[in-house]
Amino acid sequence: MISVQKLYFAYSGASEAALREISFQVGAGEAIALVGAAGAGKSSLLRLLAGFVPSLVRGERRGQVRVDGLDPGTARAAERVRRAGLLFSDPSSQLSGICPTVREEVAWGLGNLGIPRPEMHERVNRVLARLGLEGLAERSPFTLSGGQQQRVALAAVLALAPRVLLLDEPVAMLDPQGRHEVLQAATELAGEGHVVVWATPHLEEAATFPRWLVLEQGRLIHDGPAAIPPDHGALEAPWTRLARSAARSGLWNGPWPVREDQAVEGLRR
Amino acid sequence: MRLDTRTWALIPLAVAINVAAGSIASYFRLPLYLDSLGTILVASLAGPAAGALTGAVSNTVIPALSNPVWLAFVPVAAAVGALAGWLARRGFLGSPLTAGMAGLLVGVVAATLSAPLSAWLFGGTTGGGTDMVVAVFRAMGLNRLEASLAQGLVTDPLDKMLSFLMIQSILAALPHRLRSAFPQGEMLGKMRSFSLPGLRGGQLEHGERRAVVLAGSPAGLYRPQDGVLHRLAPWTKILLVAACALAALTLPAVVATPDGSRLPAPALPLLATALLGLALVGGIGLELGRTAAALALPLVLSMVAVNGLFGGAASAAWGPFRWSTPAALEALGLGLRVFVILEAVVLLLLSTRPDLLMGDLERRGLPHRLAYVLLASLNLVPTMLRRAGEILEAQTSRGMPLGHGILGRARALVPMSGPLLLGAVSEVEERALALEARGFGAEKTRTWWSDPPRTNLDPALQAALILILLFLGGRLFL
Repeated sequence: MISVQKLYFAYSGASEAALREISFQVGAGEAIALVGAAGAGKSSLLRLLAGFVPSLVRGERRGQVRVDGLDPGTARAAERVRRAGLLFSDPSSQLSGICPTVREEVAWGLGNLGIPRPEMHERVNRVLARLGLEGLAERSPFTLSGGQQQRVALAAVLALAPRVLLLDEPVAMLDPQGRHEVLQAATELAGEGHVVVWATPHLEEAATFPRWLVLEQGRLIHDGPAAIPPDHGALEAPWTRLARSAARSGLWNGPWPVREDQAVEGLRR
Repeated sequence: MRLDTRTWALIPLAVAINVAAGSIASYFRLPLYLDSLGTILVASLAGPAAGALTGAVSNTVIPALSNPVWLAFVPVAAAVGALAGWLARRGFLGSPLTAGMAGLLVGVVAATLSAPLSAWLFGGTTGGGTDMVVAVFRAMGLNRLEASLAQGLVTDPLDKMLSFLMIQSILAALPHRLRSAFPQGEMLGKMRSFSLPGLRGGQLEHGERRAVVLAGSPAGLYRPQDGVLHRLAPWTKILLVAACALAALTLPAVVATPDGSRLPAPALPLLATALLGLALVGGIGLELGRTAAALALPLVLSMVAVNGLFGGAASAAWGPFRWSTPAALEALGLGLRVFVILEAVVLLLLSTRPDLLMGDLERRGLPHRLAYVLLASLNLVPTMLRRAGEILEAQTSRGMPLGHGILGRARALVPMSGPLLLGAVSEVEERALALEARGFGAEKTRTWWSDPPRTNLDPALQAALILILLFLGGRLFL
């Protein structure tokens, strides 16, 4: 579904590349975490996958990107949004800001694509039901909590039926309840056949996903099961911190754990 | 007009900044407007067309929030944006000195364009604090046009110079990547950075956090009701506003009596009363009366007082004061015309949900990006006002002195308005990408969730109003 080969990208006027020689493949129905500290290149990679380079984000791109068989950078706007949907961290900046109700907010993107009204109604009602937002359908999006707004923003993206969901630190600005709601929705969507790419600097969040792509300073340093290389110090989960302390006393030898079960297994070893 | 999505996303933020910065300036009780900061920002980054659009949208949105008088100055705001964009393209924002020169030029142009509108439409006054300045110039013997121009030349160049210096300072401090992403960002060339004075250590001044109340300002004049007036199609009410405006401009405001004296004609007061009656039927009579009076009374009284005291041949004199009844009567007639137009616009805004208004206009050919910008601007204003309140809280808690005297207060404007502008530029990328992710740039014929409201009365009312418009238009041009 996603194919990236030797991808290089540097923002216009920047002295250093944001992405260097990145290659990976993601199959249909896969859910992956894109892990990296701030400035590692996560957002740049998602913008390339969503097709915003070069139309909205200027820079030099080399290498190959394919999403559902098409280079998203050359696709027309309507084709682009049907292939990949992108969700950001700040819910308030993603809502259109012009719709009086949640229902119309979710329908707004479909209106931009000229979807006929019966199909629009059917899709909006389906996606509201899917994300448990029916009770909020007539509420103003401005009056919702951050977590609810982010679920509305996710619903608005989902209504466009993208094959790939790109989530750029989607819970960074939410409280614990909001984080739980959005993370649960994303993992369920992955289980229903969507390709989900969840970008985050937080390993606890990423631990939900079975496969990790770890970025550091624009390079892909790990592509595999949920783990970070032993010599990588920028990313830490509570379990990683525990293992680092244990390593200093000679009690730990192996990959840094990111989940509780990995930490318990490592200490047992 | 072809603008990129980033520019479309920036314009509503800029319009909201115009409103918020204007509120900050008036909070600090300064003879400055600062209400074109956002316009100059867009013009500098995205060019003259985007600047003109931002100015025009700004003066279209502010009437929906507070005072319809601003509508008359749409051409001036658009000209300020266009000229600012043209000057930025020619490198005038390269240094503080050239930015100041650009502000001076734009200020002179703005004053020159505003003066005839203010003189002809409002008798030289606008119902604001600057009317006192106009009165002083009238007392010095200048006529309406000259006094309006002189007032503009006192305030506009200073206001625009400070605005240009603030924008230059902020753009010079922006990372190259953010600036160059805009259509005109690369054309701004090398910018010499400088820091405007303002943020200095000092005592926290007790009780100076009142700007937080800005956050409570209402977003728009709309008042929900379930009356027939609210259920009418927005287009019907737009035709009603057009018919009232044309009637106000063509019906006689003053009539001559058989003995040769002149009195206000009954037509305009009757029309004003009819509009009030319509509002009463719609359940918003009190709101219309209160809002129209609050907006129009200062304007009409100011028009009558300034023109009666300083215009025309004297009918009476008391010491140094003189009074001209014909000039006052002429101003009253003009005031009635303005009142009727203003009342009709307020009636439309009180009884029509902004999104339904835009939706109806979009179906009648208003470009959907323009409809988006108008509505998003309106809805972003409360957010920007809240942000201004938070910035004031943050800056005062860091010890920013709010200062005494005009210069002290003017210095405090910079650390207040700077974060608003920087915040807008840094969040605009995410907004633009979010719009694109929802098909904003798709070249498709738009569809809607529902149709705008419509009653059985609408077709007949629209036909009648079109006939009235044709009749009044015919009288005007034939």
